[in-house]
Parts: sequence; structure tokens; C-alpha cells
Amino acid sequence: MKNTLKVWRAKKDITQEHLAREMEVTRQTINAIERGKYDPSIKLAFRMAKFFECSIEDIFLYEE
Amino acid sequence: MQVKETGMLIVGFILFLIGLGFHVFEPDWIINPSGADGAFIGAGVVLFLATLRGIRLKNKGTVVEDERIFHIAEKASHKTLSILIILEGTLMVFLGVTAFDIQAYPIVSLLFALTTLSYVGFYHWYKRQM
Repeated sequence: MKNTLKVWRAKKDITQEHLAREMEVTRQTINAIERGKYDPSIKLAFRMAKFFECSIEDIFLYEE
Repeated sequence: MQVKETGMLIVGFILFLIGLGFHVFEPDWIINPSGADGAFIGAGVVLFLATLRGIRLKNKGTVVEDERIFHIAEKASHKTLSILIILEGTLMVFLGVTAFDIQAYPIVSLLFALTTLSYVGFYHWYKRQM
């Protein structure tokens, strides 16, 4: 699954550490998601979408 | 500090005291006092220090565990279990076929060490991948 989390984070001008604190996860998890190494749970994806005030599909792109 | 953390600190301290007791009194009913006291002291100290670290990080507002960590732990546990079942099955077949007379203590110690090493190894392997 691809994502544009880094872009959304840059738009808000926040660090991985900041986003991690907001999402109540580790900074390493945010880093792993951005690098496409880890796919977040649906709950975390919803929280991210809510935080960035967009839909899940705006951040995460499912590719078969 | 929460009840869970206080409990963990107390359990760690009790384990340490049991190990210390084995070391000092060396009861006759223990086959290997140095192994038993080492295991209890080690477990107690590790539990105590790990709990203190967790409390310190929590107070700083740092998230220690999250869904990714649990996912890694799940995968490492599953892999470790699979390997241990194969190893234990092979060992049982070997002992059954050869009727090799072996003491339980070294075998249990070996399996304990293999479990720990396998879990730690797979945990770090998956952590690097994710």
C-alpha cells in the first residue's frame, strides 16, 4: 500500500515526532509507514485522516 | 505510578530475593543452586529495570508500545513457536528412537535458551524489516 503521509505532514509542517505524539504511536512507526514498510491498522488510518482533515483514500492508496 | 507497575516492581524484587535466598542458603532439594539463583536474580533484576525504564519513558510522554511493536511481537512469537515445535518434535523422536538416557535439566535449559534467542533474533529481524 502506497501513501502520501510525508506530503500531508509537510503541508502541516510537523515532524514525525509530533505526528507520533498526536497518534499515540512511536516515531519509528510513523517512519515505517512513510517508507511503506508498515501498513497501519484501520483505526490508525482513520485517526490520521481525521488529524489531517481528509479522507483515508487521500493518504493511503491501495494497489493490487 | 499505576497498580500494574507497582506489582511488577514488587514481583521483580521478590524474584531477586528468592534468587538471593537460593544463593545464600543453597537448599539441599535444589539440584543446581547456581543455575536457580542466577535465573531468579536475573529475572528479578531484568523485570525491575524494565519496569523502571517503562515508568521513566511514560513520565516523559514517550510511547513505548504501539500496534507496530505488537505486530512485530506477534510475528516473532509465531515463528519462535513454529521452530520450537519442530525442534521439540525432532528431539522427542530422537529420544524415543535411541532411548538415549538424558537428564531433564540440561534439555530444559537448552530449550529455554533457544526460545529466548529465537524470539529476540526474530523480533529484531522483523523490526528491521518494518
